Order: sequence, then structure tokens, then C-alpha cells
Amino acid sequence: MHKRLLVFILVALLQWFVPGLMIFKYESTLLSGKIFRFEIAPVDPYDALRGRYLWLSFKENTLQERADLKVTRGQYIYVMLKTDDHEFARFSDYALEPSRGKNYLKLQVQYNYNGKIGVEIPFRKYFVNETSASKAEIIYNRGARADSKSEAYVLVRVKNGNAVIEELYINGKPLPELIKAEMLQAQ
Amino acid sequence: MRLRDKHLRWLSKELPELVNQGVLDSSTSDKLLKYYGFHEAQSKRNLLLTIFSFIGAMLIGLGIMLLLAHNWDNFSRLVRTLISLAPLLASQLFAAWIIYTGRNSNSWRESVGVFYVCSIGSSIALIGQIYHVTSSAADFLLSWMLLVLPLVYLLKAGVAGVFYLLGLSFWTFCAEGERQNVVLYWVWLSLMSPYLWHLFKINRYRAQLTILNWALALSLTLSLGVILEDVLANGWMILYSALFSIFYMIHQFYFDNAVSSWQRPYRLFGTRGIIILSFIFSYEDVWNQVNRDFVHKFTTVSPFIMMPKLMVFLCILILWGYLFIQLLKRKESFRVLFVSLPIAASLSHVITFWSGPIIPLILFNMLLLIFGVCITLLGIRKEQLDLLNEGLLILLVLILLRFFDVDLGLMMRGIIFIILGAVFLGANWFVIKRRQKRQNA
Repeated sequence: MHKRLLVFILVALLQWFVPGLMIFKYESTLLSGKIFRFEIAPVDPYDALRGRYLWLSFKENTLQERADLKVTRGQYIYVMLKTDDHEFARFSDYALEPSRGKNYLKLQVQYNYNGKIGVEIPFRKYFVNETSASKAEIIYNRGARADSKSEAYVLVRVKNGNAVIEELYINGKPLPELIKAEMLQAQ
Repeated sequence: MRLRDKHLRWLSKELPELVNQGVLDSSTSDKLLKYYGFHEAQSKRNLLLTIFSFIGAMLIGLGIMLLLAHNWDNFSRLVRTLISLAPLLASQLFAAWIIYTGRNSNSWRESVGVFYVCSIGSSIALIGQIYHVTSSAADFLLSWMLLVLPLVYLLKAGVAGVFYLLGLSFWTFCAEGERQNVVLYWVWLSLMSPYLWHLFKINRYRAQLTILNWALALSLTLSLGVILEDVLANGWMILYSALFSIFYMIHQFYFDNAVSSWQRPYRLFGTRGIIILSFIFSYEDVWNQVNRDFVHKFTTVSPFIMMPKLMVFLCILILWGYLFIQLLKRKESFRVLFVSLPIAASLSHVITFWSGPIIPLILFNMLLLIFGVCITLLGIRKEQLDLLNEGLLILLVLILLRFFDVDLGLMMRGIIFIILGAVFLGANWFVIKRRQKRQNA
């Protein structure tokens, strides 16, 4: 019986290891990762809210293929990041191995067409509370519309190829604050 | 003979006293309890208790989650993280208590098992949601399954085993979509096999093993096509013919003394699978695909992808071949014919490739006719209504399907329906009368 209990304790510790590792990785990225602002692209207003999260769409999601480094669909590449004049994140280059000292994301190639590589951004889901989901959708769609004058972006911390969303901003205000204000107004 | 519950309870209280006083010995006492259905009733009560405990545990867990979800936005990230991990800790404490105190009650093990399984998945999912980072569906499912697997061995919780087996099937669907190596399904499946073997050696008709067998049969049926999809082209016909034949033969060799039908999952999957496949193969459209896809798939899929899958395919055929030879030795000609579907499917592939689908169509329609007639006659001979009706149903469906393939007038169709209905009723009446006559004699 005690042998079985000992084995169980080891298993239980292992079961803590998985969420523990996740928390460590994400907290480490949030605490010491470099901040990048990813500009949100216009979305289909009927598709923004899937279940309990907003499906984010980004303007920066493609890069030019290098003549000396061909890639195929499904392949993982390391994409280097830089900031443009408006302080938004842009892809600068890519490689098959991570580069030391540079900020990069590990992304999967979605397509490669006519020298243009499309990549899957890993932080496309922004989870919202079910009770405020519909308000979040309205505010998000308003901010992300093509004709919108709003500035909509996601603040992302990047460290060692990992990226964690810090917050979603519309016109400089975080989405939870806007949702709260909207809900108070509605009451 | 069954007694009413209150009489059974009285009897179960009296018998130990009678044994103590030397009026009866303990083996007679056991025989009396068995004769009056005490163990059966107790087993049903235990099963009910297990089911209600399971439902109760699930409802409590869901209720707690809903309460927390309502106030989620008001919590800081730290508090949310702690709340996400709390069910995992609670379920681990419950499980440790069960193991430490040596409680063997099914209701405890299964209800803690279900709570534990849910808490593992919810903790991983909620952590991802808190940080707005989610892994792929396949990676999430695989992590969840592998963390659940130890519960099968340590808690001996059947629900964890069922969850693991069916979860693997969902993993194959997701992993195939994400271009992961789905052949690993066999590796993950083999991790559960020592436990299944252990249960089989103790008592192959035990309830937990029966439930796991149902889950295993379903998992294999769902996953096999996905795993071997891009190698197979039309090879799925041979693959699934072999799979269902294997199920049937496993039942015949290892589970044939099962008392009730719920203890025969492999028989159900095997027989239904073979019959349904035979009906599918009796259509021309299926064979018209053979020429187009077969060569194309074989020449376009990369060998690195194809080789492991081809090995799995061959292993299934070898297993089928081994069991088939064992069945041949028994000289049960109908059963041998029944599980010869892979041979028929393979031959039909070759014939279709060279000369079109006509011969396979005739072959499978003939097979269905033979299956229907033989099962009907078997039902009459054994006086088993379920077998009789199964055979008649096969014949009826065959006739109806071919019926709609040809142009017949309303009157002719009406006459045929009446004849079929009369045959159904007549055969059932005949078997019932014969059985009554035998019982009265």
C-alpha cells in the first residue's frame, strides 16, 4: 500500500509539472520579455468571437521568402522581430535556428506562394469572460474595422521564441477597462 | 429464481447466523444467495451507486466551476491561477486518501477518478486561458491523456481508462489535421495494454474490463482509418474488413462464454461491421473509385510517411491471418466464411483493377444472401429470436436496397413488402411455437 502511495505521489508531482512549467514559462516571459506591439487587422465581424475568446487577426503575418532558404508548408521557422517608425512590430528576417541575442518567434509556415510566406501567429486567442463576451466583440470590431480611425493593437511580451499577450489595447485603453465602462453605461 | 429485495435482505442477514450456528455451511449459504439472485441484485445496486456517485461528483465539480466563472474577471492573475489548480490538488488529495486507506469501493474510485480526469484537463486549459496562450488541440489532448493514464493503474478507475482510450481517438483526428505523426497512436495505446491484460487474467468478464473493451473497440474503429488514411486509398476496405473480422474472432476465441449481450462488444462490432461493410461493397460506386485512387496514392506519398503506416497495415493483416488459421482448425465453415471478408475485398480490388466492378458486385450480394440465410437458419435451429431476426433483417435490407435499384411498379413493390412481412412474422411464430412445444414436452 505504501509503495503504491509513493508511486502516486511521484505521479502527482509529475501532474503538477505540466501546468507548473507552463506558468513558469509564461510568467518569465511576462516579467522579462521584450514588449512588441502587434497591430490588429480588420476582422470579419461575424467571426470575431468564437466561443469564449476573440479571434485576433494581425496585419503582420507574412514575409518574403529568401532565395537561399526555401521553406515548405508546416515547417517551423524562427522569425526575427523589429519595430517600425510607428513602433509596431514587423518581421525582419527568418532562419531555421534561433539567433542568440535577437528577439524572435517560432512560427509555423501556413503557405508559401509566389515567394510570399504566410505564418501562423500563435497568440491569436484573447479569452474573455462569457458575461462580457458580447460587449468585447462590439468594442473589438469597432476598433479593428478597416475604416476605423482607432488604433488597435496587442501588447505582447517575447522571450526565447515564446510570446504571451499582456493586453489588448484600443486607442490606448486596455480592453477590460473599455468593457467595464461599456457595461456601466448600459446599466 | 429472484426474490423481492426485502426478502433478499432478510435472507442475507439470516444466513450468516445460520452458518455460525452450524445449521448450514458457508458454501451452501453462498449457493442459496446465488440461487435467489442476491449477487446479481447487489451488483446492480453497486452499479447504481457507482453511477450516482459519478453523476454527483460531476455535478459538484461543474457547479463549483460555474460559480468561479461568474466572478472570474474580478480576480487577479495569481488568484485565477490558484483557483485553476485547486481542483487538481483536491482530486489528488482524495486519490491519495483512497490509496492510503485501501478503499476498494467502485463508487469511490470511479467518482474520484472522473473528478481527477476533469481537473487535469481543466487546469491545463485554464492556465492557457489566463495567459491567452493555447497549445494545439492535439498537444493539449495528448498531455491530458498521458497525465490521466497513471490513474488507470494507481486508482484502478475504469472511467480514466475509457477517457484515455476515447481521448486517443480524438487525438488522432486533431493530430492528423496538424500533420503530426499519428502512427504514435499505437505507442500510446500500448501503454494501457498491461492493465487490460491484468484484468483479462483475473476475470475476462469483469464489468470494468467489459467497459474498457467497448471503449477499445470504438477507439480502434474510429482511429484506424485516420491513422492509415493517406497510405490506404481504397485499402480502407481491406483494413476495416480485417479489423471487424479480428474483433469477431477475438470474441469467438476469448469471450464466447459471455452471459449477456453487453459483455460482447467485440461480437457486436465484428458482426455489425462485417455486415455493414458488405452492404457498402455491394454498390458499384465504391468499386469505381479503385482504379483512380490506388496508384495515385501509392506513388505520391513520401516513403517516410508510408513505411510505418504500411508496417501497421501488415501487422493487422498478419493478426487477421493468424486468427483465421486458428478458426479454420475449428472447422466452423460459416464463421470462416463470415471472416473471409478481407480475402473477398482483396480479390475484388484485383478483379476491379483489371476488369471492372461487376464480379465484386455479384460476389458481395451473394455473400450477403448467404449470411442472411445462414444466420436465419441458425436462429431457427437454436431457437434464438435475436439471431433469427438478425438474419431476416439482413435479407430484408438486401432485398430493399436492390429493390430501390431497379424500376418496379407500385403493385409489385406492395406485393413484395407483404411477402417479406409475412415471412418475418411467420418465422418468428414458428420459432416461438417450436420453443413452447419443447418446453411443454
